Amino acid sequence: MCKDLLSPTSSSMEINIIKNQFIELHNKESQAIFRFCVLRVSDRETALDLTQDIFMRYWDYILKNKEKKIDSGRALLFAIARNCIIDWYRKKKNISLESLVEDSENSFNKEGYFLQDNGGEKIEMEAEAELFIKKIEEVDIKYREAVYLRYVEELTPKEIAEVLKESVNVVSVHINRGLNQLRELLDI
Amino acid sequence: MTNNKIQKGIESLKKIKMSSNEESLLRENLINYVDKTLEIKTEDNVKTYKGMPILSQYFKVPSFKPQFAFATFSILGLFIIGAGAVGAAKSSLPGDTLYLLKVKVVEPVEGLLMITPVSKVNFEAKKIDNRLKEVEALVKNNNLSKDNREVVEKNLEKNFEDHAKAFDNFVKDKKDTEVKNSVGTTTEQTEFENNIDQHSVIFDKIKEDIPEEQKEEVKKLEDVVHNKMNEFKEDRKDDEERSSHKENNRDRTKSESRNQDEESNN
Repeated sequence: MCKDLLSPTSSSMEINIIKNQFIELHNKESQAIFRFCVLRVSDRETALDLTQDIFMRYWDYILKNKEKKIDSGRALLFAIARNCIIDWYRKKKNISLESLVEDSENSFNKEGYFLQDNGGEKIEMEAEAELFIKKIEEVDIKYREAVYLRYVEELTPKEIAEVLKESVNVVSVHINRGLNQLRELLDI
Repeated sequence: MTNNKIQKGIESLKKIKMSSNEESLLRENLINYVDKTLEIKTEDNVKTYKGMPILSQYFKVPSFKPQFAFATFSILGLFIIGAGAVGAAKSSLPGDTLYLLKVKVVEPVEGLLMITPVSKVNFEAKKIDNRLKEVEALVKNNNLSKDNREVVEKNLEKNFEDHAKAFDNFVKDKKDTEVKNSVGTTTEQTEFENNIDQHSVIFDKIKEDIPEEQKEEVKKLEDVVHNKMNEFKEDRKDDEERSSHKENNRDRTKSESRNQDEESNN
């Protein structure tokens, strides 16, 4: 996607193409990234800030790594989103010493939990969604993220493997086991 | 793969969305950010922008501009030609085009680099050595004409004068710094005299196989060298006498003052 991006021979037309591809990716994936963030940080404003930050980081990354071939823009975007959220928890942890213990117990160590109470405004959602999230939360932490990315965000196992930095086989196993656990939890 | 319950749950989750206002605001912010980074990249603008590392202009690789190509290559060419000319001039002989460059430019510039009195003396001695070698080369090439001999003679005289001056400074410097080392002074002097003697031996040998005309020219040069060496040797003798006289005076005054002290003590 970003091959030869802004190289000395890059014409303004090529730059415009790359920019348009980036805007297109944003239009397609911004809601998914926002959802991914809001389910992790449980605060709408924070999720909006994070979404913007994630897309900016993505743009910076393709500028810096012009020569690298990016197989999947979506996978890279979710990987950046994951890292951004981890950073956010770390920063949050450093802000208040009082909340340090609480954060380390509730949030940071349980990275991957959805909709935890971080003191933010409660996200409004349908009862079905809330129930579903609760059930996902009960799935083993190892499988939860893979199941979410596979069935909610519809990433391929290869893309999930890139996001989670695991092999495709491991990811496939996690998805199957996670899905079985979810079925059991939903009494299916 | 997933049944209805899961499907419904997923559908309901997907309803968590940004509002259209939030989405358009986000898009606007990102477009601004992208445009600013592109401005920075393409125009090397040094605007600071939050979260965007900017390379210092001091690390900028200068771009090649065709309009400066002629000037650049001209300067480079001059440097290359200049360096080549200096190299060629060093091995030139009287009568060559580059000989003037050697005597008037290269050697004086080299002389400027000699800072200490010792290095100056050695450098001046080397110049005389070069002149004599030039004569030998001219004879070997059968090219010692009257004109060439006159050129060498003129330069030789000047070189001998410069050498004498440098030697005076060298001796004076030794005395001033009170590291008077007669052996050191003699070493410089002896080396120089030995070198000239070696050249006179070479001259005697090469004179055997050359035409009469050239023999005459060589003899004239030998006379110049001989006269100049005599002057040099006399100057050095005067120096030595003067310094020994001074030393004797100094010793005498010291012994007198010692005697006076002894008398006053008694």
